[in-house]
Amino acid sequence: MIVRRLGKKTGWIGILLLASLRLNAQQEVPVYLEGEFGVDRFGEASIRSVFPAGAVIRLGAAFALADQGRLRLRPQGGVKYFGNKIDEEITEQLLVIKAGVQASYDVFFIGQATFFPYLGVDYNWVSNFDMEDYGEEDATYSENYLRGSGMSQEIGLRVQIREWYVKAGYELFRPRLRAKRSIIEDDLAGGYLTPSSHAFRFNTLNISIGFSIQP
Amino acid sequence: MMHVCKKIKVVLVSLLLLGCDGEGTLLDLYPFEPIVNAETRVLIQDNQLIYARLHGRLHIDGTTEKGWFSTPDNFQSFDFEDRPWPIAQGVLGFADGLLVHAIPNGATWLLRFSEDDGKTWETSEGPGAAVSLMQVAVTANQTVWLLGAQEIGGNSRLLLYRIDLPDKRAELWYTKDNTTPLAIGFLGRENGWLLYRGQYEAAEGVRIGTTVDGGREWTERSAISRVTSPSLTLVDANRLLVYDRAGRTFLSSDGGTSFEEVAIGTGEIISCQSAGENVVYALLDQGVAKSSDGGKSWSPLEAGAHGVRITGTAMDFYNEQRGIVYGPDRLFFTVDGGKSWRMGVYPYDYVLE
Repeated sequence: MIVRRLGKKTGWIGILLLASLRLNAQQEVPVYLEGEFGVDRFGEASIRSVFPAGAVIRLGAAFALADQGRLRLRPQGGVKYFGNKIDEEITEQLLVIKAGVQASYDVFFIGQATFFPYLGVDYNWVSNFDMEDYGEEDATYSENYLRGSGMSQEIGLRVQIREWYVKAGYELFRPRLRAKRSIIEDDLAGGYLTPSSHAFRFNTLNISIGFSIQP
Repeated sequence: MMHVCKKIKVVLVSLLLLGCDGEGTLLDLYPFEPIVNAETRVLIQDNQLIYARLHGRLHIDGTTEKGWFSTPDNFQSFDFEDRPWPIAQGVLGFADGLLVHAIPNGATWLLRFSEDDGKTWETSEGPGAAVSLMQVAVTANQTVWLLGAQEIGGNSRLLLYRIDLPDKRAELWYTKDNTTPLAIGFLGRENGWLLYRGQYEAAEGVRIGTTVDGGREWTERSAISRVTSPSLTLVDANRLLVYDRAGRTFLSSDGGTSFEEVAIGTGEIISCQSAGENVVYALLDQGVAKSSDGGKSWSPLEAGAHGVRITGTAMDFYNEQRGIVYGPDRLFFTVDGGKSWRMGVYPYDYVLE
């Protein structure tokens, strides 16, 4: 179910990107197809102890706009994934689906390396669930224990050599996650008061490698 | 093809999970707070609440089998002092800051008095052990009445003792032959009501006697049938409630001359307490009921706290709004006349661990 939802969201993001590229082709604004893969690490020690590291994938279409194409605006979509292996069969998962925009500016270059400071804003859908995989058949997924959404902001620097780049950024993200109703009810029966939602500090440091090509 | 896809998925997931064995789960970081203070286990684990009294906003004092407690903030913090309750037997009565405990002690009854809710006690000698004490009644001016019975040669005799606090001596005040005592209540030192039954009368009836001279002379005012083991709650000088555990309740609005049957609710009635000019609460075996017209009409309260029904064996209302209901292992309180309730003590697993 969760995987299907993820597929739907990423599918829509892909359609939007393709539409952007086609629109650009008609208007003849330079556009680059960009994709990146990286690792994420939470800034908050308590969350980092649960999810030591995660992976992030992003895809976007960057439009070279003002100042001789030095300003780039990139509508983008992506997925962040954190796993926490509870035992041999069960892995806790934290999935963040992202959609937003990133602005970068070609400030200077040294040799073949071009430096792009960037700012990004994303809207994020967060879900936390378990995956059970006993190896014999398809993995099964639990209902979400926690879920929610919220805006995130990211600031960082990208260094590009020809079509390839490396980027490092810090993302500020404080989503309010809601606990599954049955968890709240079970806690109450056990004598504990659990709030219906809680704001987590999901700030992350990430390092990615990516490509930027003109189709 | 499907097989290859599966393999790719497994490889990708394995790569992602490499080095991702965390400690605990994200849900562990989700906040929660215990509803009751786990430290209250000292009051109910191998122990039980015997008596509790609400003093003010959240200040509760009381005694358990093993000691005395006091909390100023509904058990967020509390003091507990080991002071074992002598024995489980005996009869307990309290009012107006005076707690009286009568316990059998060899050839006599030992009377214990506490003016600080069980923290310290003074003792005196009570009636002889041949007297079977039914009730200890404490009136608003700290006069204590002991209602008892004695069997002598087939004669069941009603005995009423009065104790004045300064000398704490039990004085035999009134006797009535061939009579079974049932309950007593006083408003002040002079006006009292006595429930009794003739020795040979059916067990389903009760007679009501009154006194206006401090219990020396009693006049039979009326009788009620269909009540087995009645209790008595005085609302004011004219209104009194007579009820039994089965739930049959009778209200008099003329000082006990006549009674009309009223319905408090379904189930057993444990006790009733007047909490104001017209407000009376009834503790039922399955909840709490409230009357705002002196006991004539009653409404069951939505009495629950965090999904737990309010139940107990006793209650104490400080005023119309603030009161507690408690039992051996629980204590609830309300500050809004029973509309909402909170927990002070409850035997959750984490309390009894």
